[in-house]
Amino acid sequence: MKVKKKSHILIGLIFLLTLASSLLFLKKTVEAAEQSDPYIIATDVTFAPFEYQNEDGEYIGIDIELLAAIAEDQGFEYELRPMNFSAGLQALEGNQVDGMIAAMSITPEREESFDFSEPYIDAGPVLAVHEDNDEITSYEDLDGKTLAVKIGTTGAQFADDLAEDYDITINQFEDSANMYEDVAAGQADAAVEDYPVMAYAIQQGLPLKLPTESEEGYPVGFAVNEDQNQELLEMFNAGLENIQEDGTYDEIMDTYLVSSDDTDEAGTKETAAQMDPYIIATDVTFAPFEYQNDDNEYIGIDIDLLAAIAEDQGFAYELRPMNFSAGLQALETNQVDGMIAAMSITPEREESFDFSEPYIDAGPVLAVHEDNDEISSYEDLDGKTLAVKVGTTGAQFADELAQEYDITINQFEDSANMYEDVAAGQADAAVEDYPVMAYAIQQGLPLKLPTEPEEGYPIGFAVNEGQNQELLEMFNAGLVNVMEDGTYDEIMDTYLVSPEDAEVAEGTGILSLLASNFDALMAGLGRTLLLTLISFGISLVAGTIFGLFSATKNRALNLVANIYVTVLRGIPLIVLAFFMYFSVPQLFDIQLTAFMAGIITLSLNTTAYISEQVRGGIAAVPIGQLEAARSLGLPYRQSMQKVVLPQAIKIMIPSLINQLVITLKDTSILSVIGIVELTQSGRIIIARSYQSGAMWIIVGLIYLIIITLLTKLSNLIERSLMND
Amino acid sequence: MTKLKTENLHKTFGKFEVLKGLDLEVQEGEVVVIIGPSGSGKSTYLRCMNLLEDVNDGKVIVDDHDLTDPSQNINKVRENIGMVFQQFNLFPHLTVMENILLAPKQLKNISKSEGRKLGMSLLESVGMEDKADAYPNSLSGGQQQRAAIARALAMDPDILLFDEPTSALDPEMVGDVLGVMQNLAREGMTMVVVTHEMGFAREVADRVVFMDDGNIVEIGPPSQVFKHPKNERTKNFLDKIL
Ligand SMILES: Nc1ncnc2c1ncn2[C@@H]1O[C@H](COP(=O)(O)OP(=O)(O)O)[C@@H](O)[C@H]1O
Ligand SMILES: [Mg+2]
Repeated sequence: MKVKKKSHILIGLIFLLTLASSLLFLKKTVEAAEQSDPYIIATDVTFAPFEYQNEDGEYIGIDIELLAAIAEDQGFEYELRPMNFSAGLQALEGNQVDGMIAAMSITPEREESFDFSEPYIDAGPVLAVHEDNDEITSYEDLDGKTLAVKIGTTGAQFADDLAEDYDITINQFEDSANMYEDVAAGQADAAVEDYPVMAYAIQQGLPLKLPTESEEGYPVGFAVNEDQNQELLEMFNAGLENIQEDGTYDEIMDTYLVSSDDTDEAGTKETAAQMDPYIIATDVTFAPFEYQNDDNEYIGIDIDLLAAIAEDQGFAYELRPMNFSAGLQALETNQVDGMIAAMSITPEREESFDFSEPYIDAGPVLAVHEDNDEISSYEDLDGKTLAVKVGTTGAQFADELAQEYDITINQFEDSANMYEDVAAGQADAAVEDYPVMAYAIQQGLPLKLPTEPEEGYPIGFAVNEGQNQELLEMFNAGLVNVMEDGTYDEIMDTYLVSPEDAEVAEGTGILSLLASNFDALMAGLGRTLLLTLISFGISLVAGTIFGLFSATKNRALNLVANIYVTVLRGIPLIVLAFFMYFSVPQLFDIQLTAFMAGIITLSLNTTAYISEQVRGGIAAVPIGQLEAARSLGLPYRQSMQKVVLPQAIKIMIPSLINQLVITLKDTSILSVIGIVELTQSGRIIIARSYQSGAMWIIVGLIYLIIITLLTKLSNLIERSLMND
Repeated sequence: MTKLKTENLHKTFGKFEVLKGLDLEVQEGEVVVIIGPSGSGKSTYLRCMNLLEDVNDGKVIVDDHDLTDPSQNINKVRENIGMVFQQFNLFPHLTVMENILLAPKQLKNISKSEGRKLGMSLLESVGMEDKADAYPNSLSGGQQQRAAIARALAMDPDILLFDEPTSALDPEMVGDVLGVMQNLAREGMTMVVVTHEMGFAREVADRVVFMDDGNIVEIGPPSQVFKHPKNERTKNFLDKIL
């Protein structure tokens, strides 16, 4: 007993000693890091063009070179520490590094934790056109043109805004490379993308150029921890100014980015006369804030809130829906008195506008399946899987959670897929901006919100700086009143599912989904059938020719047919589609619409298969038939045409019907080049309604019905032919 | 007058020599019957006569036209040489009338009524006028072969080639077909007939050719070949089948 007790004490002592000494050591090293001469600067591991490794493994990029130039100018030593972005943020907050330069957007939340330098670049969206295009030099020139965008980006949103002003066709892509290629190949006239990313891609050899200045977006800056290393921040700012003056800054930017063509700003300032009803700008469509219902009336959080406040305060107003950036301009030039359009209160905007108190917050929120009672806090995410949308603040928040808990992250390119990942039980939870998520759930998504949303960008009502202050006061006063009397909650309940009562508003059935999207689906089906029938018609003719080539005794023709079939059967249809749509226009300097490219792709592919069926069909006709015809004096061509082919076709009919079905199904692959056929129609509806479960059943059933009908019809034709 | 002639005709399939230098002259209006064991090259020989098979060496001369001359329009010559096959080879997707009129319509541009008249007279000559609009599959073997003979006559040929025309027929049908062939011979048609019907050969043939192993072993009038074969191989063959 005694011995045991003693040994316990001994072990305890040793443990304590070890702990104390290691703590001391840790403290020393932390102090050493703080005091040591070179500043430790965190940067991201890879984020071109800001920081990435060249072929020699050396770090290069805008951030790296900018920091080097500033350090040289200011004469300070530093040591670069590449780590992943969220680890860098934590290291900065824990004073393990002195500063951080990593394409860091200056957001209000970050400003609460860090001190930022002056911004050294802006990441707003910019227009890009083909380098040979001298036609487009302003947004106005886009009228009647086609714009390529990446689904779900700020660039896509900006393109939508432009499309409200001008007659613009929008081609949607899942990834940047395809979007760029759409313009490079001349399919689209222009693309929209964040300025540094676009400019770098062009620098890398993309044959595009920037005809206009980039739009305002998030500024990017260098950061130190709040109230720490202020001398470093001052040096950075001073150095930045110096290198901007001496041309070093421009040199660095020129190394990595292609600059916009110089464009003049048309600055016509008009002062709107003060009228009795206030003119309030709003966005044209941004659910759940403002959008049109089936009767084309504007509804949404912004619309209802403004109405309630105006009633409370007794002022008259007139709503003027316009695209978001047009609204900002109108507000700045006093053409409207106020603006309510899900407007984030960002520092830059606060420079130009006066904002009301925020009426909602757009921070990220966690969503789980409605049947999931397991997850009620972030801690419950330990060991679980999170679905996020690539590049969003939600994804960033998920990364931060993953630092604390053992979380697997599933990344998605678009919201619909992310939601479905959770709805289908593949992921345990998703992270998304609160209003967007809550609206999606309201629309029938079988998810619920187990936690309160995180703090994010507050959203407010805006007037021009120094203008209409009485309107702003009325808005603030009215907002307080409607919040007190319950009107505010009513409005929010109408559009959003709140975290507390996470109940689905209404189960939207397959039938109602079908009914409300019937026209879009039928348009898609029409395009699917058109693609199928045209391609199959072409392939029947071309396939017969190639099939005859391989049936003759002529070796050269045999070879031609053989090579054609081998090549075309050896290329996956999706690759062929990309080749036709992107490569061919570049290689041969011709214009191809997506639909044309789709027809050609499908025809080339189907021709190869039909050619083989024709060859087989001819081989199945007894040789005596050809000999009998030839012995009568009929030439080869007439013998084939009148005797062999009619019999071969009868033999081929079942496999031709089969091929027709395959071709019809293959049209769905053409959605990758932006043809809105049935499958793509389904995808687009899902992006709007978040009902992929029901939607894919509908799309699948439509295919099934059409193919069954087609097969029945073909069998009828077959039977009537056989009876002859 | 010589209607059809082969000179030193050689035919090989790959390395295998099937015909080893055959010479034969068929006179106008003559009926030549070719007999011989299976695999001796009879069909190949017949098919060389209208160049359904390319020949490797030697000549095929029809009415002074050398068919092996590449500049010769072979289709034109074939119009003049009808062929009847063991398996009939009627076109199954066409009626009997359409089978007969396919070549005249394609090659001679004859009118509908002319065609119908021609078709009916040909069908009458083979005793098939009631089957003009039937499809081949609905006919018996004998009827099919008689329709095939009518088809072979449609381009009004001077020569007819028959490759075992009765071998695929049920015994009770054989007589009808042989009767039609006998009529044709009587009307002066030049005919080369490969057959195992020794009765037909004896009664109708002007000369009988015995082939064995790619060679013409014996040739002569039926009375001589059947009763006094000169060659041992001919004797053996006749002993076996008679
Ligand atoms: N197309 C061909 N390819 C190769 N060998 C063939 C071909 N046609 C016939 N033969 C061969 O040539 C020989 C003679 O055939 P064939 O003329 O049909 O004989 P027969 O008609 O006397 O029975 C046979 O050995 C046969 O196997
Ligand atoms: Mg034979």
